[in-house]
Amino acid sequence: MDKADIEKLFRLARIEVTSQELERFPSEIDSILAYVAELSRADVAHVSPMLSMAPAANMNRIDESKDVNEEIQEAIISQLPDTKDGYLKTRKVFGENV
Amino acid sequence: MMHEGIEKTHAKLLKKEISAHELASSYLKIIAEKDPEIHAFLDVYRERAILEADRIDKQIAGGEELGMLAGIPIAIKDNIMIKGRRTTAASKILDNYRASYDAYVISKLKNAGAVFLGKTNLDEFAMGGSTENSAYGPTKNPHDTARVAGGSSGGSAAAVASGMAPVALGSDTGGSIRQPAAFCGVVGFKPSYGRVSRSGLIAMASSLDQIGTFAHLVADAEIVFRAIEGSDGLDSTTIDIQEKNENKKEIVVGIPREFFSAGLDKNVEQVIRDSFKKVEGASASSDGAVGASPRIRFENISLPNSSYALACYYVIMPAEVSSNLARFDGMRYGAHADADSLFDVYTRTRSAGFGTEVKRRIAIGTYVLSHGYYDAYYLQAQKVRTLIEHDFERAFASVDVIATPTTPSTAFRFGEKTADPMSMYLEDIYTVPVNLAGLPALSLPVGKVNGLPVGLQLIGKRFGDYALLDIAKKFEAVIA
Repeated sequence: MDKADIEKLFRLARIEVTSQELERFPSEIDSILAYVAELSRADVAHVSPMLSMAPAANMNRIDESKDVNEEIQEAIISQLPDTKDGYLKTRKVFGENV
Repeated sequence: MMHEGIEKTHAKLLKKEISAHELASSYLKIIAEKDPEIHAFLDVYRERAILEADRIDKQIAGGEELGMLAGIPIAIKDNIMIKGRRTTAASKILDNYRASYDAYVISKLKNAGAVFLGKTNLDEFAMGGSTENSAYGPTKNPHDTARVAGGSSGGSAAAVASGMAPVALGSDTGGSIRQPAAFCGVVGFKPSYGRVSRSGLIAMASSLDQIGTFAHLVADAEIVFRAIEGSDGLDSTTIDIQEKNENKKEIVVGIPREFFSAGLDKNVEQVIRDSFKKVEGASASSDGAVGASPRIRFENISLPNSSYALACYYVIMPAEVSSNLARFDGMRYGAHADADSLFDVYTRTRSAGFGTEVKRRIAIGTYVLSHGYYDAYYLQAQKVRTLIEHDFERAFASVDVIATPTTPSTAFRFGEKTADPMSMYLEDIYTVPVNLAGLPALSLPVGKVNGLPVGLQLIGKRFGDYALLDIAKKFEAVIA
């Protein structure tokens, strides 16, 4: 992986890397990917992937709000970086690069 | 109170030989003395702990019926939420975050009357094996402060080992309870996947994460586990289990040859094998009669696919990390970096908020999940995960428990493994297979090499948590 690959990969993850990280990441990530590539040697013919560790049945509940009170609302809203009339305020959602 | 255990302390509290206030004060005093050097805590609840203890003392004075944990101080890893308290996961991105609700395990401990001493240090978002990835500085090993406490739950392990807390909670995704327990010379127990709710645990890799306990004694790790286990509607993987008491005449311990090969420190191996001899020797006198303690027999076994476990883990874990950490976007809580476009708000917040190891794992996860690589990495890893689980299933057809070293070596020095991430990842080589298969496992201190503790890992059958704890107590009785 070269520096351009790394920058592209991090862009997908919405992260900018520092120049220091850009120096070390290509070789480090290459060596980790080389290590995990040994998985290809495992004989997995007729083996099913383990898709979940959870019990086989889904758990459902009624889709309704629970335990909502002003204290909880206030605790959550007070952590928003910017608000207007009790709503979260953000930069516009539609546009280039989003 | 330190090593006498919760049960005896509980009896003293009820008999008013000691008050919960005195108990909390004594631990807060040790924290004030020792933590400036060890740095196990990110937050200490000096006043609040005393208030909670006073409330318990009133209940005792009023003759109320109280559970085993009432008035018992406990330290909590700082990726577990306590309502209204700062919860950082040792990340700058959550530096100003206050939990808006209690984790399931916290509400259970509150109901049980436990007294919270504070929040303990960890590698950022529980990613690491030394706490060197904490944004707030590393935790030192109480046995040698030039060495790491292990990680990611290094703060909880060091707090218990240095007497700053009698018990603590941690979380374990690939060894994050057992490895620091081994390095610090305490008991560290990771329950079966599905046994303890993760509601309110800041998620790292959801198919692997599990909350567990630290203590000096197996019995104490069990008491805390009993208080926090059980099904919770807010974690759909949890189920209630009633374990049958089997009263076996013989316990068969499997020794997997793959865990005693190249890479294992010779001195560590010697301590582990000596512990097997002691246990075998002590049980040889048992005749297996009804009521007598069961005979313990050791048997060599093989877990042939365990050589793939670490590679499997370093695909599945980062894939889940990259998904779980997408929520940290500077929008709703935590750090926020302003910019002209939404894209730049995201990238600036995340770039400034995440440390290097977190970024590294997000990158690997993004890579293995991306179009064109998914089948080769992620799907292949999930198939190998099935093979690893089948290995354990086959082994448990003939053994009751599997015994291995917890780590290949004793606690390493600061900086020794930070330059090469792969060398740090290899620390987890014996603990990771357990998480991939969802099994319960415990690290028990069994001796020392050059003054540094060695941990024996005992692995149990899925949902056989109490059976595993019972066997661990038999080992503890002989070795400790």
